[in-house]
Amino acid sequence: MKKVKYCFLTGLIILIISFSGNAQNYNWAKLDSVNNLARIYTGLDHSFAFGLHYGRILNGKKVIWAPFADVSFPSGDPVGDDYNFKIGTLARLFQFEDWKFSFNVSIVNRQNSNPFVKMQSLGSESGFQFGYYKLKWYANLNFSVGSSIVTNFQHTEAYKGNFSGAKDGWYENASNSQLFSVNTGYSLRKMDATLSLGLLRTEEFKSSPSLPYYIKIGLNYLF
Amino acid sequence: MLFTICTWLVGCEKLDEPDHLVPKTADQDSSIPSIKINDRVLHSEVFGDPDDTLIICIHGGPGADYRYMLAAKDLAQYGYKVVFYDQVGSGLSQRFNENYYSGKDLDDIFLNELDAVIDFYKTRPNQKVVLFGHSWGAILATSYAGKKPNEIDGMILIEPGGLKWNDIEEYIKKAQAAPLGSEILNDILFQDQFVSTKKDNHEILDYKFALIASHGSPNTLETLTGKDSFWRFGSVINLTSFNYGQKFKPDMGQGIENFQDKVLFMYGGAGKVYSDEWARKISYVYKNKELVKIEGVGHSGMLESDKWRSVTLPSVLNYLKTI
Repeated sequence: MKKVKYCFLTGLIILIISFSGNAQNYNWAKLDSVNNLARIYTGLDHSFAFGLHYGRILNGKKVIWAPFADVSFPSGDPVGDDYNFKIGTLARLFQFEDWKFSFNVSIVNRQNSNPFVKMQSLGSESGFQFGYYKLKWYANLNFSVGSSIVTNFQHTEAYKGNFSGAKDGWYENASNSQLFSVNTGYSLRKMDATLSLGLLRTEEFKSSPSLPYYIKIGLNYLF
Repeated sequence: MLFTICTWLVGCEKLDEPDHLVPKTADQDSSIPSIKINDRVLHSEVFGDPDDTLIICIHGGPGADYRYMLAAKDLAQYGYKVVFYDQVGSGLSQRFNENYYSGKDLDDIFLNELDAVIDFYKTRPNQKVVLFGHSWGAILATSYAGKKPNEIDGMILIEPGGLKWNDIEEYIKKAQAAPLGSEILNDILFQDQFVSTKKDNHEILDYKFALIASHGSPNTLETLTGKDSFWRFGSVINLTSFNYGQKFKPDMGQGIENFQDKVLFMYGGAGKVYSDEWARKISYVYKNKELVKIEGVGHSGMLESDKWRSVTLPSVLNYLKTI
């Protein structure tokens, strides 16, 4: 059993490092003197969603780390039957004057309930950003990839009433996605207004999701 | 490799196994009743005396299946031979990849197949043939009657969305409209994060289609959550057909003015999309017709609810006496 756990965890860590992602909106030029970042955001991202994000800023000598938690919910009725929950970290790795390079990695837990099935997945996201950051504004380019590692399917009676053989349980590697995005923000004292625009692809760029683009607006509060 | 070992250890399934998320098709499972038509294995059943008037049931979609029409087998008790078949790429019929359909028009894909199904089940030259189509099936029946008006003796049509492409498109937009932020729209979009696949992976594509359709349509009152509403959706044939429609904008009613026999045209009174005005507009092209409005049901309730026995079946039987 110990060996299974070790094996699973090692695989998970390798995947998190090698896969996945999420566009991020941190103005690295402003984070030297703050400890926390809280954000509310809304927009189109595989649905019309709204979310909350919290990041803890850890200023190192060379690298700024920002471990974070992020939860978002698609609107709809009921709210909460579908969600995205992420924990991970961002890191500003290096800079040259106002040009800065950062990356993010996270573990993602998602749920979708529809009339036929409840799906819950455990996956990963990772990406990198390269951008120009000033105190008043910033803009970056982001590329990230995401993958579900395992997904649990629990079919409803409605689906089984039509296909009694539907097999519930864990399925491997049910989806993957790739995202290109442009992120920008305008900063005022402790606040940043942020905008992200992106294109989504799936299956190693060979397919598109039903909503192939991504638009988010957000508000950061630094404290 | 480590990942593969790990998932093996926790016993994960693969999404594209033939019968994990969707049932097998007739070419994959010989216990499914089938016929071979134009080198395609089609899921098909027949009820009634072989020599009785032939009623060919044509399901909607494209990409749905005949399961929700099975109430029509009651007609066998009244002296009719009732045939059901899942169209190519639909239901439990054989799947073909996208490139199989490229260069083929709707005649090649659907009408020649319907023609061959009629031939397959017809036991004598003067056997009467009636087409019984619902939604897309009613459009297909009309197209067949327009091209071969002398091959059939009657048509029972339920809510063809339109016949000219612009009407079809308008109907679909109204039927599928879902407000931004609604649970329906979000479930359609959100599931892409859980299940994604490349083209021609039919098991996953068809499963995703079912998830997309899972809410039915509040606008047409269609619902798929009832028992025995469907077997398996056909994603590739659905997309192929719509892409064809958008590219060529076909008039599926072409030549229908040459069809002189009486048509029974039925529509539901409770859906938001198929109004009296729309029924009059779409049925205008049929020269000899009887319009029947079935109150209290939407797009397919006249086949699936108790309205079948109380209203639809008697109307159909009365009509069949007149041909």
